[in-house]
Amino acid sequence: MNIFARLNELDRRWIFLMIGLSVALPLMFPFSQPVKVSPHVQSVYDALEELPDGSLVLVSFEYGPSTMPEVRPMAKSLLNYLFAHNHKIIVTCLWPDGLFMSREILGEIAVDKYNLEYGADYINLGYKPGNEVVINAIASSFSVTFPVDTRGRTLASYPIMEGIENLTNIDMIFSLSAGFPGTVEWVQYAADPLGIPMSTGCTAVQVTEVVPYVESGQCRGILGGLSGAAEFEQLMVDMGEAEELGAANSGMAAQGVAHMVIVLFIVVGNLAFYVERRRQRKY
Amino acid sequence: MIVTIGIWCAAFLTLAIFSFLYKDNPFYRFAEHLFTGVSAAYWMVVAFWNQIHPNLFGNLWWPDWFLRKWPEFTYVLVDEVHVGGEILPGNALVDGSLSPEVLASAELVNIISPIYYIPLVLGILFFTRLIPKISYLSRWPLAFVMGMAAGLRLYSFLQSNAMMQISSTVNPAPIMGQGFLAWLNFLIVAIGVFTGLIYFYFSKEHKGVFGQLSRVGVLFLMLSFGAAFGYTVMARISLLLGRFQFLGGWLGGIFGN
Repeated sequence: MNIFARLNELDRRWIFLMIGLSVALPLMFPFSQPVKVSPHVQSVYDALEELPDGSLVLVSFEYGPSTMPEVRPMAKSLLNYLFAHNHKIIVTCLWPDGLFMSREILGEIAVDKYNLEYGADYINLGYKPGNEVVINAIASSFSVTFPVDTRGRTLASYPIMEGIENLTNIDMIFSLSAGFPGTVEWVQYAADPLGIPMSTGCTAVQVTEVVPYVESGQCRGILGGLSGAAEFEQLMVDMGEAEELGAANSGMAAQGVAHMVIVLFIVVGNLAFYVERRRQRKY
Repeated sequence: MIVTIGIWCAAFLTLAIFSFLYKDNPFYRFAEHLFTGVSAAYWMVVAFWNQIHPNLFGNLWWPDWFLRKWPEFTYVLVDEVHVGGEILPGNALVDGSLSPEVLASAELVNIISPIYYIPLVLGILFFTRLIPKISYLSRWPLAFVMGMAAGLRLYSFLQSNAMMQISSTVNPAPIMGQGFLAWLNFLIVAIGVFTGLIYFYFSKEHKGVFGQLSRVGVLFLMLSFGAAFGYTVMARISLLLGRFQFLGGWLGGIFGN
């Protein structure tokens, strides 16, 4: 049996092992991987830079534990940037898991790092079921859609909500999305009809779905998957917004090696397939 | 202690799931069934407490004794608690701010909306599928859901996905004054959209020039599938990375880094 025939019959568990090693080894023996900032990530930064200090930004959490490795690093960089520029944040969650994600990261950044005051600097409205209907509803009224926040108090009792009636009072929307409902729904039901600037950080799977909105200008840039998060972290360091790179960059070496191995397998697999097919036709 | 047990459980379940990569085994089966059961229960509880309970039950009428009997269950149903001229939100029933004596004399106000009895009836009609004789009644709530979704989505979909996308594809105004690469990108997108649409036009046989254009459309479709596949690979590797980082932290905790 020649080498190509053997490759065609290779036990797939060898492939699993190789992929596993290609991810594990760079984590055990880390090395730096150069990260180049793409125009889409630069657009996100530019959109944020255009906001005057003290702007009101709505950050929506639409991801859960399963997509945390991808979206959490970008959520962390984003909140760091927003709080460092004294922006006020209204948090909403269109996913029930988003509530836990938002609580955890707000605790780490707003409370532990910046020591900010809940209700004055930021507020968490929590999860509301209804998907895009919720977006449609807060386009009319926050207080009707969210009678109380996650602490069970009416929105009117918080200074951050003073004079804030609906989405038209928001300066920018940022969707941290891992699927439906997420970025696409925010574009369709808030950014487009109300003309509110919007940007997003989403999982890599969603990128091809969201990029058409970015290219058409309906969404200001995109942080796509772990690489988007790593680029944003790099940009934050380059622009002096952060002192060190974060979790996304530490995973990029493993990501790069794993991609190389997958590409290698695709090339070798196809080569073996074509050579073997030609050999069989010959005989 | 609880956190430590949780981490060990998560590590065991992660390894149990990974063990399927070698071959099917009882550990994998256990983790799979546990995941299915926990997911189903989790979503049922979330749907009940976040959707049905506050959005439907909270707008229906309930007797006063019922609201007082199980405050942990009924506080979401209560809109206001009136105590000595002061109006407090419903969660005053459970947040510990009022003593049991004060609560006993408080007036519980549950603002009811009769219109919510319509979704209640429609919701119950869904279950008529279980009774063959009147199962046709389940089509009524289904028709309502379909109509509502279509009405809600039609305008925004047409505006965001059709009009604005077509406009940005055919209108060169935004790239006026930009360099050659911007124009090249505009041209490639326009050709891709045009030939892609031709591929999906089935009223004319794909032969001759039409067939050639259709083949170009297929190439663009292949490119988009390739991009989607690449991003999907990146997403899955990121998830694997997340699990490995978790396992690394777990092992680090055992062996002291």
